[in-house]
Amino acid sequence: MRTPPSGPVASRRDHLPQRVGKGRRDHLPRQAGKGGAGKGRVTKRVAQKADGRYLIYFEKTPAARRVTS
Amino acid sequence: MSELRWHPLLEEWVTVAPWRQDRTYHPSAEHCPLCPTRPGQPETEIPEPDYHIVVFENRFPSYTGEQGRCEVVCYTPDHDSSLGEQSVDHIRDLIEVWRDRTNELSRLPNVKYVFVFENRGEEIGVTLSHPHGQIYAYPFLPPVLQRELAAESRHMRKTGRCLYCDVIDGEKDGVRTVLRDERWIAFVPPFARWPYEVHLAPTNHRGGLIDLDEEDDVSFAACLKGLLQKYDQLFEKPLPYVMAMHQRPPGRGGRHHHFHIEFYPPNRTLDKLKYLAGSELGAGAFVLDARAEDTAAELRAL
Repeated sequence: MRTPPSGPVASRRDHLPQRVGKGRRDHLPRQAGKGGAGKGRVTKRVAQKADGRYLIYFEKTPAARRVTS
Repeated sequence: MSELRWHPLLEEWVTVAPWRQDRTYHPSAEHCPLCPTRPGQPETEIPEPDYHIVVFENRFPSYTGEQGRCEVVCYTPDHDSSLGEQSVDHIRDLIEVWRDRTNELSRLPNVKYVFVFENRGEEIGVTLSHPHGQIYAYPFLPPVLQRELAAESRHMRKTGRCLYCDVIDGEKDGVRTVLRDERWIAFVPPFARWPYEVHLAPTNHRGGLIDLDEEDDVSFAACLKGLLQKYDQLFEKPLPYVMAMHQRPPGRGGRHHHFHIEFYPPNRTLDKLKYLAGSELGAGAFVLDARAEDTAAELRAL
């Protein structure tokens, strides 16, 4: 954690621990079939809502369904 | 975006997000925003008529944009179900979802910690009864985790061992064990701050969700289900709780951390709750009117 500000109350703008990175719409979730550390049990389908928020459907992969059903 | 204000006396961040005052509050089941959209009915948060597991950005986030993320995880389309009622197979899928989100949110530029949790029950302050959890990707390391990681580092420097591995080692006699198998243990820690607090942890050293192997997942899912079933049997009603996953932070900072999940049910009896009051809130000193050995025995016997 960085050094706290000198005043009793500080605004976020001045004291956010780190201010780098892109705007939120530049990093919607990856559309990849499984997560980086996934075991392949579910597949991912990314959608975007009308207000710009993302929505991720995780569906059972056909292979996993065969093994577990 | 939220405003982060520094608390100079406690040396921690306070997040100010006034728009959360307007969040959806106890809608009726037919207006549940976490149910799939039914044909001919207004669209919910999930436009499709069915789903397996869904994650979406919280409409009333504490952190968004370059600050971080707040996500909602809908466990099931069944409005009247619960996490503990899901099959072990379904919970394994959910573990993979939690892992995927941890992995992805950890890569966001400002994110310092990914926190997976569930608030269950009105007593906890839940405003939507549909079974769901949440994930917060914080732009700072939250204070509880900060203290935990610092204690683990000190213990490692002093003894060369993992602090939490030593905690688990202290449970060999089983008097505080609720359930266990070859890979996971659920126990009421001797330092519990809630009467029926339980820690669920891998017995082998693992730092977080992304460090679990397939056998760990199988055991994790079965033990999680087993514990939640015991909770609901305890007073023969759905037990409210907070479920808090303590995993290592992104990067090298938490290399001595041992993954575990903490559960805090507020009940001390069927109809009496433990409230955080003067000593707990004003002084940070928990006073507990139950012994871990006794509550563990109660849960173990179910």
